[in-house]
Amino acid sequence: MALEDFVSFIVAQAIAGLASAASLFLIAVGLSIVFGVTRVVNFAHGSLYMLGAYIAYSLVVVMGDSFLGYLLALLLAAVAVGVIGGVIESALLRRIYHAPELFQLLATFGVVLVVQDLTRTIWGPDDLFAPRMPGLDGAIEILGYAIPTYDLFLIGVAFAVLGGLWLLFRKTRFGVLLRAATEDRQMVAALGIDQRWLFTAAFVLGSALAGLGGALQMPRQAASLSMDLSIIVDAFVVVVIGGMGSIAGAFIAAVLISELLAFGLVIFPQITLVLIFLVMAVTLVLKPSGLFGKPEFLTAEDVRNPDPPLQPSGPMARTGWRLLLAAGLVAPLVLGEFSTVILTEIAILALFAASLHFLIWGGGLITFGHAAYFGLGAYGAGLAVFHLSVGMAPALLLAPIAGALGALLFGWFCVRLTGIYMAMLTLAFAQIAWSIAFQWIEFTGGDNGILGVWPSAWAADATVFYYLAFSVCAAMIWALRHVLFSPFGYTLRGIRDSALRSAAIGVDVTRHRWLAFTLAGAAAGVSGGFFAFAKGSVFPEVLFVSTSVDGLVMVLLGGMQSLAGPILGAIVYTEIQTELNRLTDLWQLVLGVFIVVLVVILPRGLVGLSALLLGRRVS
Amino acid sequence: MPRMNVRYYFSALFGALLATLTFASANAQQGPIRVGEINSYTGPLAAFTVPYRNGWQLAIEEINAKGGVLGRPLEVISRDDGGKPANAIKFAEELLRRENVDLLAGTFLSNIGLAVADFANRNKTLFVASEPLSDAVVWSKGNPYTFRLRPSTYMQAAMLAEEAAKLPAKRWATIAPNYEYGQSAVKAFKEVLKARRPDVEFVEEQWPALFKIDAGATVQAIARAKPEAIFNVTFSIDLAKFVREGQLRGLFKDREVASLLTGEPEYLDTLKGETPEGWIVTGYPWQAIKAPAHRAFLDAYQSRFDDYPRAGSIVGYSTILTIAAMLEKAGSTDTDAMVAAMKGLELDTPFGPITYRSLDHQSTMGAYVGRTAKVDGRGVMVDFRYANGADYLPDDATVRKLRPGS
Amino acid sequence: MSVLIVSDLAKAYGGVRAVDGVSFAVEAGERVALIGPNGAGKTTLFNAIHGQVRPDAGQVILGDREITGLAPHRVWRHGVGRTFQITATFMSMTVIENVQVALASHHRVAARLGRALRHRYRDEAGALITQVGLGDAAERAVSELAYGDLKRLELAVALTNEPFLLLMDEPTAGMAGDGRGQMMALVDRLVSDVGVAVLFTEHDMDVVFGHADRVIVLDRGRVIASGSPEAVRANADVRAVYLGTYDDEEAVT
Repeated sequence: MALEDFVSFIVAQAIAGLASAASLFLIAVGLSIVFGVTRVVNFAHGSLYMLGAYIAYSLVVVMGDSFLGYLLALLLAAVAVGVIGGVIESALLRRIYHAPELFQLLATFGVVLVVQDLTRTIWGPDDLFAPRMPGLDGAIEILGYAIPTYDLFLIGVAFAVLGGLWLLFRKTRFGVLLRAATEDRQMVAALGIDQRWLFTAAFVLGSALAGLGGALQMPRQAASLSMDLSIIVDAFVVVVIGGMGSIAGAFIAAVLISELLAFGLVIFPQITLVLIFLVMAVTLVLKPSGLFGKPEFLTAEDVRNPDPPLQPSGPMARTGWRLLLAAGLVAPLVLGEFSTVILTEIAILALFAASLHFLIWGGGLITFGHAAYFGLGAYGAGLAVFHLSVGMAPALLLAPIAGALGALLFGWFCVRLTGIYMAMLTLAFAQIAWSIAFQWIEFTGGDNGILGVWPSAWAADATVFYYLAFSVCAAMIWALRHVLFSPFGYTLRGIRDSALRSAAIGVDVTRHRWLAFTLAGAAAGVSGGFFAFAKGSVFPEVLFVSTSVDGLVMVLLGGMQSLAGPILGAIVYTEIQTELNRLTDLWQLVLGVFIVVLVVILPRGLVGLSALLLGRRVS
Repeated sequence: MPRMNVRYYFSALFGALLATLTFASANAQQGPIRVGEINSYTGPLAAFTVPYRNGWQLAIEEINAKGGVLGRPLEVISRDDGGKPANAIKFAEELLRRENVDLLAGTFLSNIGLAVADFANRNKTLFVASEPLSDAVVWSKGNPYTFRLRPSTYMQAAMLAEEAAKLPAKRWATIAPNYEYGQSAVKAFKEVLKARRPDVEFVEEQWPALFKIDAGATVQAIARAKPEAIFNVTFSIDLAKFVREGQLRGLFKDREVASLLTGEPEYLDTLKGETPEGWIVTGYPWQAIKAPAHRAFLDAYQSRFDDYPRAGSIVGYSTILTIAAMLEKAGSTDTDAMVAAMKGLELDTPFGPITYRSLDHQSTMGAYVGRTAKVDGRGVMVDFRYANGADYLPDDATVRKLRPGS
Repeated sequence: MSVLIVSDLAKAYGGVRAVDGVSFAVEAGERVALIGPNGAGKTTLFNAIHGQVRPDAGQVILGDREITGLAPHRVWRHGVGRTFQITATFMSMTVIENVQVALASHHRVAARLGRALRHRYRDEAGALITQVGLGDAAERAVSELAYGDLKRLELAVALTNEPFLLLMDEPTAGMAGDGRGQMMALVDRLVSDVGVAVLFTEHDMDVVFGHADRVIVLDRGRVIASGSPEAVRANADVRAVYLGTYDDEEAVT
């Protein structure tokens, strides 16, 4: 009897897991196809999913009274999102395929901001909960458990899509071309296929799948403005576990994760948030390209278009640096008090961006989880104040140690991977750190954070604190710059250019990458420590993916190929966010459009602006 | 020369910096009284904060139409924190140092409320925390400069626990989002219920990640424990999923459910045809409250915005009423005078008279407790009563222990 | 004295025995050519010696030390320089910086954070690039170099640790006729000046027979002949293998 109970519970739980897996698969597989063919890390995939849900909701309200009408509404939503995807691809992405891959990521981030505000403008801020699907609005009993018929339908759709994609990729010329493009881009070019057409088609297909995924959620959940960001990280995790570009991989990973969650919450109801990232971390440590993936290269810079050699600053550039330094020193004396506060934030974020830039540009180490070390620095300082009641100075000394130790630990796993897989593993660790900070309330204060992390009396004045933060951050940025010119910096640059050659001249590639990761972690830790004291508090958001994205945006906005890029990026990004906010509720929309336009006009970032103004080409 | 030429953008940059940073605006002492307001107006929280904003806008218009306060108009300078505490602190700095506001108000998320409260304490500025629920705002992290309007997590959980204690159910399950709010709510509910009913046991706890509930599997896990009643803290999209899966899978059949905040239109309206019947909830039955004070508010709101108010609208409206009443009592915008006036401040709101307790700076605003029902495919509250917040706070000795330094 | 002894080395991929029990030795100052048709296992053998792939069986002994399965960066520490079929250089650096990075590694200062690299080992690096005939190009960006010059640069880099064995995978691949001759003349000079031994693979039979002291012929993972160029040229097995598969087109790939 008890055993029977147990078995039926297992079956019911497995079916519930499969239904979740179906949703996850539909969103992940489109992302995987888009990445496989175009190599674009599409942050806006979640936004397309959200659009699918909202459009489906509107259509269901109009025509969802019958099963067929409802079904048609869902399918039309998918088609509509496919069309929107096609527009995004041909109007935006097509113009920037030649740009470094990370810039495409920046562009899609701009799209995320735009879609977020447009959706709010069109559909309003309220969650929209569609009625159940007629004909599939009940449950059937399986082994004593009521299983919603829609769950079974959803599972069926997932298998149908899986089968359909399999047929498409195996049996049609179009599919074969897509597969070829995923596996060997040169070959497709050699076959004389118009790649542009293929890319557009792949993007439309991927977008339509995202739209379908969102639409199919309508009978299960409310359309909400948080759908875009809450799904995108999960989708990436599924794609990476399965292997980028692999359809079967996405399916198996979705099932794996969903079943683990379905059963995990019975045993460890508190751990669900961490579980998904733990699975990804373990998978990537054991199988660096995911379950079914092939080694993938997402490079900091396009290899066909190498950086020019590093040059020590000439007299003009040195004057520029000195001017910037002087401006930083004089500014608080001539500007208002609030400007000093903003300048403090800029100095702190500039160091954060510079440490990220050091990794990406200096060492080709792409990370989507740099917030981990910034956040560990902030928490290191904050926890020291909270638990040990130490003053500001010792707490600030702890910050880089916390950042470095975290980087040392996480880096050991991460630096063994390359490209997108490394980026995703760094993200996994950052999200694990975030989950711990968010949920371990006794130690970290959880979501309510650590309060009272204010500067000591001697630095309480905003101007004094500014000079402290400015001088330390400027010194750290200078030190990072100095390292780039040192033997270690060049060795790192060498590893970025050619790991093969580096190993052949006796360089332990992994160890040097690890050291660079740790160094950048320490620098990010410093900036996190100052951030904590600037804000007087530490919250889990410092560890969250949005902080990592902010860092990337600053680096890319400023321009990758210059040491001044991250500083410029920090200034512009902070200023825009602060000033736009005063002017409009739609500041995300404006910022998004700004980013998109910038990427198209200046694929080298703002530092490219000077060259543009002078009518020069930047490398 | 392919190298970056640093010089040019440095000069451009310097100019831009100067242009954007020199915004310092002079403080006009005789101009309006300036309230710096911060809330999460963009992103997913807009559903809650926009009705709240309507509420305070309505109050501002009404007060200024009557000639303002202390002979000066009342002005709100509002900022969007985008849901991030760090942004909220940045704008608190801006409001205080650049806009020279006289006091701060607002916030919805508990963490942002706490961050701004701590900032206010540090900068010796009055902060009227309108919406954040966390008990910590007035208790464990309470400070002399912060006062909170909305009934807290503890108060609302206690209102439900009181009703729960009247039920025959002994086996309870809980489901709450796994973060501070969810954990505090469950803790408070258990505490109050156990005190009234020592025979109650809690047989299952589910802690879905916030906004990531795996509803089907969670519902089955709860059903398996065969509880007689369920205490729910999930809200927003988690609530919608939980309710639909729960109804489909028969979880709520013959089971009592006590559900925090679910009677607020912000949450109830989303559910529409899926609204569960007979849940015990805290909320705001705006259609059915007969009190004249509320009637007047409702009419004014509906004619101004062509929309009905949500719970947040009441809070936004009452926030400005609080500030106006406080200013009249204080007679100046001097912070010490304003803080002193806040202590024991009494005023009338659409929910009736409230008091800001000098003991812990919590207002006695209450909430409506009742049961859910479905009328014409929409959720409403029936059999409700107004639970006065003053009756759902621990005794003074306990509060003193909870609030260090009081 | 043998600088390199390879005995019974084997490496299989799936079921395919890419290298199947290969044994040979290279003497000090000797130039040994490793030839064979495409797919004979030359590159796998090279990679197995150099540590990029771990052999399934057998031994690699360098001087008096066993280096079987050591990672490439450790093999380099034992005095082995390597050039690749497709050049591997640091494209975002100048010519001299490429050599300086290698020298920093050789002198074990690659992890130093102090004095800038550009001020270190300038003379030593200058001498090496002059030695390979790139003296005039020291400050040029590598990305601007012609392919033949990249090959020279790789050679200079490979010499930074004063190796006693050079592994050169197709040293003249991708070069025009003149360039090939100059490149191999440079190798010859190094052998006579420095006394380094060279093990190289090559498709161009003129290069092989003009510049090798000894030739080892691989086919399907096995050594089918070994000896002086003349002896190998006359070997019937070799003729059979090459007549079947070798043609001019392949020689230039």
